[in-house]
Formats: sequence, C-alpha cells, structure tokens
Amino acid sequence: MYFQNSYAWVIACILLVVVSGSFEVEKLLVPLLAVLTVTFFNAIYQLPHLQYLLFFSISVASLLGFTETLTGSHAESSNVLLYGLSFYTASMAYVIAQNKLNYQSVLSVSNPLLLSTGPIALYFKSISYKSLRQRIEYYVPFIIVGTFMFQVVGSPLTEFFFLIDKRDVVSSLTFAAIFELFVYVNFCGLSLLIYGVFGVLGFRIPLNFRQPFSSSNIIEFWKGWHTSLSQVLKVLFYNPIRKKYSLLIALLVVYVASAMWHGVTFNFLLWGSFHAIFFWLTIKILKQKNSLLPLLLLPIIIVIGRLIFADSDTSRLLDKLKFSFDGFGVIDAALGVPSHSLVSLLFGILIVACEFIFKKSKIMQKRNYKFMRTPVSLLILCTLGILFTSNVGVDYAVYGQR
Amino acid sequence: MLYMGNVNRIIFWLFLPSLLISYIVFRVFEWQTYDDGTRQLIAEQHALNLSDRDDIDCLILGGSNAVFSLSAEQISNQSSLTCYNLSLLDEGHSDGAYSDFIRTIPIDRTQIKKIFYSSVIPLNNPGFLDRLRKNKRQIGISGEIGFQITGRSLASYLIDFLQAKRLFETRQYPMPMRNGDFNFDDYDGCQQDKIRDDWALATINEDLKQWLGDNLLTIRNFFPNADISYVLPSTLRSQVNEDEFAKFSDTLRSVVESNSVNYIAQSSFLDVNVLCDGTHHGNAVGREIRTSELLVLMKHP
Repeated sequence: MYFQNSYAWVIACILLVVVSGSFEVEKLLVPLLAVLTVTFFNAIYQLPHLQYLLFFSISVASLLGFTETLTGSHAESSNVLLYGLSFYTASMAYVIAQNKLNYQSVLSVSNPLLLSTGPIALYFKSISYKSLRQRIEYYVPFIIVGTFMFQVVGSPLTEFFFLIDKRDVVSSLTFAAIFELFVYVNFCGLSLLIYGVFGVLGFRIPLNFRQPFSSSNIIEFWKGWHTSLSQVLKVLFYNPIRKKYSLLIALLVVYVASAMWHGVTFNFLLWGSFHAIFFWLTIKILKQKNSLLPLLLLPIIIVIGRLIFADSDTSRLLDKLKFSFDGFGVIDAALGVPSHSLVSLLFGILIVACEFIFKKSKIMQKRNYKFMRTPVSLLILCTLGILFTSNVGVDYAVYGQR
Repeated sequence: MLYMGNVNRIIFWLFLPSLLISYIVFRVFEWQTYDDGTRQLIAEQHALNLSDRDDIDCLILGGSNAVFSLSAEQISNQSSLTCYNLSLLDEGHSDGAYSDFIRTIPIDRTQIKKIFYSSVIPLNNPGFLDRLRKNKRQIGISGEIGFQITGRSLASYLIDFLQAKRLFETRQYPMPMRNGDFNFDDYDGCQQDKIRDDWALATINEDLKQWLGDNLLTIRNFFPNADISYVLPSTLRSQVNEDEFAKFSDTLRSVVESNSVNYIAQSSFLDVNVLCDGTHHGNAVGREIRTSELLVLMKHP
C-alpha cells in the first residue's frame, strides 16, 4: 500500500506540474511534511480533540487573514505555505475521528492533486485488480464529463461575475442563480475529472458530487453536494452532538462549522444558520407527509443560500437582502456578455434540468452521472466540447485556492 | 439491441479518440498560423524612434488605454515636457516582458523627469488574474505564441467561415509615430458598435496591492530621477455606481501614495463616440479629451 500511495503521490505531482505549467516545490512538500508531523505527534501523544483543532485551523487562518474566504470567486491566497490546508486538515480530522490515522494515510491525505481540487481524502483504495481496459472504459467517461462541465460550461460563466456589484432583487437573484450553476459545474466538473484520473491510475476516491439537482427537497440536495465534506461534518459534529442535543442544535452546529470552514465572515455565519433552519424545517414538513412544499422551497433555498454565500462584503450583502426592486435592466446587461458565455449558461441549465426532470428514471437512480456517460451522450459532449471550448472567462478551481 | 454493444464500443474507441485528435490537430494548425498583430515590430519601432532622441524627459507607460488615449505630442506641445509614448498593447503581456522592453530601450533613463504610468489592470479582477497567469508563464510581447489547448473556439471560426470572412487573420496595428503615439490615420479597426460597457469594479486585495507596489518600484528603479504618477485611466463605465467608484479610487489612491507615487484619477468617458474599439480605447477625439484632462490634473491634482 505504501508503494501504491507513493506512486499515486508522484503521478499527482507530475500531473499538477504539467497542468499548472509551474513547479512550486512548497505546494508539494509543505502539506506532506505538515501531515507527517501531525501524524508523528498524534502517534506519540494521542492529543485529545486534535480533530477539532485540525478542522478549525483553516478558520483560524481565515480569521487572521492568512487565507482567503471561500466564496467561490477567484481569490487565490498567496501564502504558499498554507496551500491545501483546508483539505488536508479536514481529511486528517476525519481519519483521526475514525481512529485510522497512520503513516499509510499520510501520502493519500497529502496527495497534491486532491489538495488542488478536492475531494477531501476520506479513503484512497486500490482498484488495480481491474484491468486497464476496464478502468479506461469506466473512468474515462468521468474525465470527459468533468472536463466538459469545468471547461466548456464553467469558465465562460465567469463573464457574468460583474453582476455581483448589483444590489437590486432581480440582479442579485440572477447573479446568485448563475453563480450557483458556476460553482456546481466548476467544483463538480473538477471532482469528476479527478475521480476519473485516479480511477484510470488504479485508485478509487470519493465521488464528491452525486447529481445534487436530482432532488425533491434540500435534504436530498445536500446528499449530493460536496459529499466528502458532508461525511466529515457528520462524523465530527452531527453524530456526537445528536446523541446529547436536539436535531435543530445538531444541524446548527454542523452548518455553522461548515460555514467556518469556508471562512470566518458574517455571510458564512448567516449562510450556515439559514441552511440549518431550512434543513430542519424541511424535515418537519416531510414528517407531515407534505412533499410539495419542500419541493417548492428547494430552488428558493438554493438561490438565496448562494446569494448569501457568494458575498463576503457585508454592506453589499445587507443591501441585497432588502430585496429592493429596480426593474429588469440586468437582463440587458447579462445578455451583453460574450455569446460563448450565453451558450455555456444554456448548457449548464440543460444539465441541471436533465438532473431534475429525469430524476426518477432508471438511469438516474445511482446519481452518478450515468446519463452523461453513455456513449451517445459522450459523443454529444465531445462534439459540443470541441466546438465550444474557448479561452473566454477565467478557469480556476473554486475550492482549490487554499 | 443486438449490435448496441458494438456500436457503443465503436463510439468509445473510435469516434471519441478521432474527435479528440481532430481537435488537437486544429489547435496545432492554429498555433502554427499565430500572428502577433505587429506587436514585436511596434516594440522594435519604439527602440528605433528613441535611438536618435536625446531630448526626451517624460514617458507615458502603460497598456492599450495609454496607446489609444494618451498623446505624447499633445503633452509636449502644451507643457514644458518633451514626452514619448512608450506604452504597449496589453502592457507587453507580462510584467517581465514589459520591464525587459523598457530596460533595452536606448535612452538615458536618468534624464527622465516625469513618468505617467496608466494601466487598467488594477481596475479589473479578471484582467489582473490573467496578468498573474501570464507573469507565471513568462509570456513575451508577442503574446501566447506557445501551443494552447484552448483558444478561440471552433464555433466562432465556423461562423466566420459561413459569413465568408477570412480565417486566421489577426488585427494589425500601425507603427507608432515619431513621438510614440498611436497613428489613427493608419488604423481602420475602430468599431464602436462592438463596445460592451461592462466594467465591474475590482476588489483591491493583498495580491493586487503587492503587484502594484512591485510594478511601481520597478519603474522607480528604472527612472531614479523621475516624478512618477500613476494615472487611473478614463473608461466608459456607466454600469458602475459613482459612489462605489469613488470609494474604489480612494483605496487605490492610498495604495499608490503609500509607494511614494502621485495618483491622478481621470474621469470616465461619457460618450461612445469618442471611443475606438473598447471602453478604455479613445479615438483621436477621445485621446485629445483625455490628454487635455491629464494636463489639467497634472497641474491641479
């Protein structure tokens, strides 16, 4: 296992250097040394509550201004010594809580490719028993789907980012909806891409997204969104707190912890409380056998949640939350972006619409993007991809900045 | 259904790789036909222009906003300075390329008394990020001459082809005049109808402060005897709230002044008719207006 993890680590370094076009040795070695050091001290001293200290280390770094908040806008932290901190500390916190932290896990937790895009390394299993041909046939489609989502759909959507400055209700909701789409295709696209790359190399890592829009309520939505972080939050916060306290308190702690992981600012605190309350409300409503109201609430919660999440400028956010109407001028402004961005927006809407409309069909049951991985779908994606791949917009990993 | 498995295999093992290979072949072809739009020649012409000038004591530095919208000739005529416009399109594509260009220009740099540095990079977050990316990749004056896996989309080539436009043709820019100014008489690329008024204010974060500080320091090191002014360029920005812009400008002023450099904020362009082909690219009229304002602001900042 040591050899396989080392092989994956080295290959990840090579891929990262090739793709980024730069060789920053600190980005590769600092996380490795940090994880190794913590593992060493943990093995000797068995520090109590170390998992929580690790999980919130990114919050401390954010509070002290060493790292940027993770609103989804591009804000790369220049401190290379903190590169990947949010991912490897969350990953270590999880394995410590599971009593599984050992020297074998050091290389998987600090794998540079996982640190650059996610997911959080909850596990890293060898699947080398599958033949290369089998792995190519199963995992290459994930690479194609991921690349399409990230590059063809995601990057051109950054041209809409100027809408963040507008404070009226139509503009701010339009921005929030487009930004939600952007964060989804960007983060999910990269997660699928990495999932496919590791699969071909002979490793299975967590599938970080599971068609979140194939949902009928916000609970199902969260089951498909950033699943690796959800799992960490469940093990570290939900399970222990739920044993002693009410559901609402457990949910509040989970979402506020999640918020603090993204950044210590007012908007995240608000975002965490907002989602916790609506999650709790949805459970209550579902218990009364009412599934329509949670379905109607779903898009509202997603869009308003994103509106709050995306804006760490408190005065602007508070202005937006007044929901003042100022006409539909934003539509003209939004239509003024390059035509590629409008095409990408259409593709993004189509993906989400397919996930939602056909959520009950057989192909959607496993929520693993099978509908986009059939040979015909791949042919369509590749054709559209080569037609519309462009350098419009900015390409960056929304979760890969810290 | 009997042959479905075979069809799927053919799609996966034959069609998909063929599409990928065709795409790469296309990008290779595009790379081989790359044209920098005379950027390298323009840089060489600047060097040639300055090789027999020993009277220059003022330089305009910066990017395309200064190329199009500032006139060294007008400054020379209306002030005691003898100015030369040494700005480059896309500001030389990277900091390294632009500073190499300035370093190799045949002038006595100690003789320069006044520098106007006009750059839109701090005004625009995507532009700033693009700059950092190009700095990292050490892109030269000619731009991205290396092979790129993404670029102009095939769809846009297809549209041009259907409209019987010439493919793989890059806009050519005219050679600079004797004082480095843009020669509008030799340029037919002004297209006001294609200008998109879509400025969004940038966020001035630590990275941007660092970048600006480093650039101002580089300029100071190049021109130790010069009085340096950073000029916030005029742009068409009707979408931007004026109060927000004023706040942004105040923040930028404090960053610039903390580097012991003067700060001059120019007003926005109000009319698309004074522009050439972009929100910050004046035409001959726009250039005159902006330069006149700069001369006034220089005396009464």
